[in-house]
Amino acid sequence: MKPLTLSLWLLSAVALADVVPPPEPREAEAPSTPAPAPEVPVVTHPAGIERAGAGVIQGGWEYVYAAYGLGTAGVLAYAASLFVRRQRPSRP
Amino acid sequence: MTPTLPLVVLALVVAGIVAHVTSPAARRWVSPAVGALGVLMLAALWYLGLFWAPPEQYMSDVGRILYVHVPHVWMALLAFTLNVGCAVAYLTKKSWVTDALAEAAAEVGVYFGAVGVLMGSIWARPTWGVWWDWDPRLISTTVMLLAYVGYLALRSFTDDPERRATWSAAAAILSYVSLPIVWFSVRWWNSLHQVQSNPSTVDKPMVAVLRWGAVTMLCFLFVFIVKRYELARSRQTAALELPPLEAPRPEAA
Repeated sequence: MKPLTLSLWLLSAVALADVVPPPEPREAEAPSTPAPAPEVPVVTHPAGIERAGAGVIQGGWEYVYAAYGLGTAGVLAYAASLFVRRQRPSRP
Repeated sequence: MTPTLPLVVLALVVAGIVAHVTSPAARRWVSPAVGALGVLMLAALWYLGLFWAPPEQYMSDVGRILYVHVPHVWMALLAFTLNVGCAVAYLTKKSWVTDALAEAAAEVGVYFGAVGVLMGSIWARPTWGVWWDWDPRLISTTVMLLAYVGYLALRSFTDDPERRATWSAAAAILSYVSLPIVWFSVRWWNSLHQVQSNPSTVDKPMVAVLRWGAVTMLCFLFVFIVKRYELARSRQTAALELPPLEAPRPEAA
């Protein structure tokens, strides 16, 4: 019986040695200057959308001329359509 | 140019329109005079909008498109309001005059609306990066234009002038429901399209050019509706003077 008790005691000691952490040493005092924060990577979109809204539209005169040209052409075309329809004999 | 100058011209144009409506003697010269004024104002609008007005803070020169885009859409809304007014007037008291005026206003409104939407698309490409977006303002405007295209199509479905006038008057009232939806869409829903501005939030030279553009387009709106109305009246007259489709056969002896 004595060897069995001894071996159980030994096994328990070995098992507890794995589970119970060794006593920690006393923590040293915190450093006066905090450690620098890890650098956060800048998230970028493949199309560069994150840059939108930060600036002024450059150029674009071709669109401006297209809009003014469309307006003038529209007035001329609609006036011409009224003129042509007026020349046609009335159709019920 | 100050922002009040276009208002002075607006008063002149409105006086001309009132003279045209109230005085038959004035009809001979008012629409040609307003048309000529519109051509002169359009030439001035090119200069004022392209070179005189300052660039917008963020849109820069692309913002100049708004001086022609916004007045076109305003004129479409004005024409559709005239259309529904004539429709209600027709249903209240039947008159070929209000029916013809409703037809003229709807067609001219579709013209101004379609050109306005195309200009908006041209503006959206450099500003939003796309020609078109399924945005509440754009969708509601498209639905409104399609409703009025349907109104014009409906008018050709029947040869009976009275039935055509009654049906289309009802359709005009239904179509007009889309108009407040278009106007408030930018406030009711989360829209990419900006909300309405007012003169207190816009630079004075920009307000002046925008008003100039609106008065220019009002001149064309008036002349187009007058000419289209005359066309509709001549067609009505021709339709009402036609003999019946099948002449009554003589009784067999």
